[in-house]
Amino acid sequence: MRKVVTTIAVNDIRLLLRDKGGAFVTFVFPLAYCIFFGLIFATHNTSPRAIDIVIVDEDHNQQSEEFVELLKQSGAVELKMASREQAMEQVRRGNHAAYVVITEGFGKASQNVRTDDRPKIEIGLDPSRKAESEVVKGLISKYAFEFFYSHINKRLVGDVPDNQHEAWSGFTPVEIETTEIVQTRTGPSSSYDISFPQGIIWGVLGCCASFGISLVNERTTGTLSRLLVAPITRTDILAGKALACFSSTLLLGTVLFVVGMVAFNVNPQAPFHLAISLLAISTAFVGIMMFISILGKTERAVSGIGWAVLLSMAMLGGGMVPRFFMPHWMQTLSTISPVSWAILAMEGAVWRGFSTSEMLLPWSVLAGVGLLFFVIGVRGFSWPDKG
Amino acid sequence: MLKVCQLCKRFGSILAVDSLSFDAQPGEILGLLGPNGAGKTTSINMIAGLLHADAGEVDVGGLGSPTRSEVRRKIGIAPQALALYDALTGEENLRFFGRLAGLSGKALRDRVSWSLDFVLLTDRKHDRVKTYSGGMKRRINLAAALVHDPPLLLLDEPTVGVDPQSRNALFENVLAMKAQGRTVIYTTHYMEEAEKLCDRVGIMDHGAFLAFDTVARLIEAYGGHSMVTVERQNGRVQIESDDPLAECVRLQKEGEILSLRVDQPNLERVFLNLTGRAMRD
Ligand SMILES: Nc1ncnc2c1ncn2[C@@H]1O[C@H](COP(=O)(O)OP(=O)(O)OP(=O)(O)O)[C@@H](O)[C@H]1O
Ligand SMILES: [Mg+2]
Repeated sequence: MRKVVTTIAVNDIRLLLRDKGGAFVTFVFPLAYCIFFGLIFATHNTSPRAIDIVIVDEDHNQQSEEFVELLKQSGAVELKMASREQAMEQVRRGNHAAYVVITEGFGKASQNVRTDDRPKIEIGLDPSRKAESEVVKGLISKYAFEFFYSHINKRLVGDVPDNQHEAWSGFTPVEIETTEIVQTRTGPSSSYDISFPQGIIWGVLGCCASFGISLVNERTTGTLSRLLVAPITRTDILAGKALACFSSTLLLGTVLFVVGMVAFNVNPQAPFHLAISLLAISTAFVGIMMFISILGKTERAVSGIGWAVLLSMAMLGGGMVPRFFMPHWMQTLSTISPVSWAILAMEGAVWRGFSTSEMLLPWSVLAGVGLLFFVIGVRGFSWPDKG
Repeated sequence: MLKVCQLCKRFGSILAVDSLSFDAQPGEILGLLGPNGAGKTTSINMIAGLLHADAGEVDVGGLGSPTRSEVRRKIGIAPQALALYDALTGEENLRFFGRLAGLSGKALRDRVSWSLDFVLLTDRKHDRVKTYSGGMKRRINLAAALVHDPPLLLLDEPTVGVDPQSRNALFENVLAMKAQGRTVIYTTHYMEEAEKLCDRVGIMDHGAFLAFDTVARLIEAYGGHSMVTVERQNGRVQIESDDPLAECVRLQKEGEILSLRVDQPNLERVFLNLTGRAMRD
């Protein structure tokens, strides 16, 4: 790539950042959107803070029920009873952090501390939810210890002073077996999986509008003439503009996803696919930026008409209201909006579990849209020497 | 350095430039004078390669037409309509335009600070251009034309709104550039500027030269006579004369004089004689 192209791109990004309003629309507003709508739609069972586990009682006796009761009383976990199959499915879907199976013979073994077959508890954990898994493991060990301690003491010595706890240290009265359950999600794991792609769309639209308007601004303030007099080509100028828009969009999408992953438990199933999706989205919206810039002669006109076009795209494409809330016919209609393909490209990689071949459709649609609009934009662009 | 041949440009029904031809040598300052709408800016833009001519040719330094990017490297333009990034500082503007012209590293730094010095804006270089006064903007606009050290400078009304101190400093610098062998095309409405700076002046109207020569020869040909104004007790008299000194001596003999003024023909008279005194739109 020619050096002047990067020079122009860097200058453009700097100009965007100097413009407080533009920077806000591009970076701050989308993040606010991601968080705000994530909070609104956040449902109880998907909140990352509530550690909820599924209990499977395969022993069905007084002791096992007492143990479940003990866990319930603790208040440290949210419990739900289920069969082993249901429990595994719940964890696999990411609805619950872990399942705990009280195996057959638990009650009997707990009655007799001296036998070799210790009471056994199985825990199924989702390896991708490490922090929660550790907490669950710790909690189960702790309550199992308390449970047996009270049972055995009752039988052997009656009341034991507190310092007796130490005598038990290092001894695990119950065997805990853990199994890893890899999530195969079929839906979004939390409302943030939905709100982040949507919020990112707003950032992309902001970038698109800002750079489109800045291109017109260059013409009205005469700096475009200066660029034309410089010893560079028109291709360099437009390539610089395109590069500025492309890299800002890409950076914005990446940064917002990283924020989502670090702070809001957004956990893309296919990060590599997501990266390609962001590239495809940036391509599409560079084209649209170029197209926006020819919609009027002045900044005011381009800003007005441009935002009207972008907002329509967003409304129809599920950037405001998620597509699955739309009636069926509208969902079909919304495929004419590039925004719907952009969201699909992100969701496909984040939670829809698309295969590479399924991703090819949104990727190629986005690339095609980018190319088409770019060509229209370049052809319709009025250079200062045309007048 | 610059050859302009039969240049034409039409905007709809307006013939903005009409078969304009001239050339300029290295080390020459060439003035373009003309009323509003005479076609000066249009000519400058065609010379800079910013406008395509309908007909005719421009050749810069024997390299060919400025529509080619490597030819444009030889040209620096200070457009009449300021062309700057308001949100950037003066220095950032110059750095950007310098980079576009292919400068980098130390060469870029040196040229940027030279240009800032040239227009006396070094102490304001870290301020955003939008905070500059009108004259400062005009000066940084000129600096942007110089930053890549071009041999051909196109200055379109570079002194509009510039105060006398800065203007005088600017004249000296333009003369210094001439001494370095640069060619300067200079448009202005200030006649004394053209008289002071320009080796040759083209008086333009309706897109064509009415006259094109050195200032002295223009005055000789189109300046008319000297004007002697004499004031006496009984009123004021103006007399045109080829020999104002002899006229003064004669007037003194005729009686008491309260005041006496001699106006020699100058470029302004040439301009008005050629383009007429009627108001232009
Ligand atoms: N882009 C354009 N579209 C239409 N007409 C134009 C355009 N640019 C210039 N003109 C016309 O061409 C003529 C010459 O304009 P130009 O700007 O070259 O004049 P000028 O000599 O620079 O005047 P001034 O002293 O006011 O700067 C004018 O009649 C003007 O109206
Ligand atoms: Mg002009």
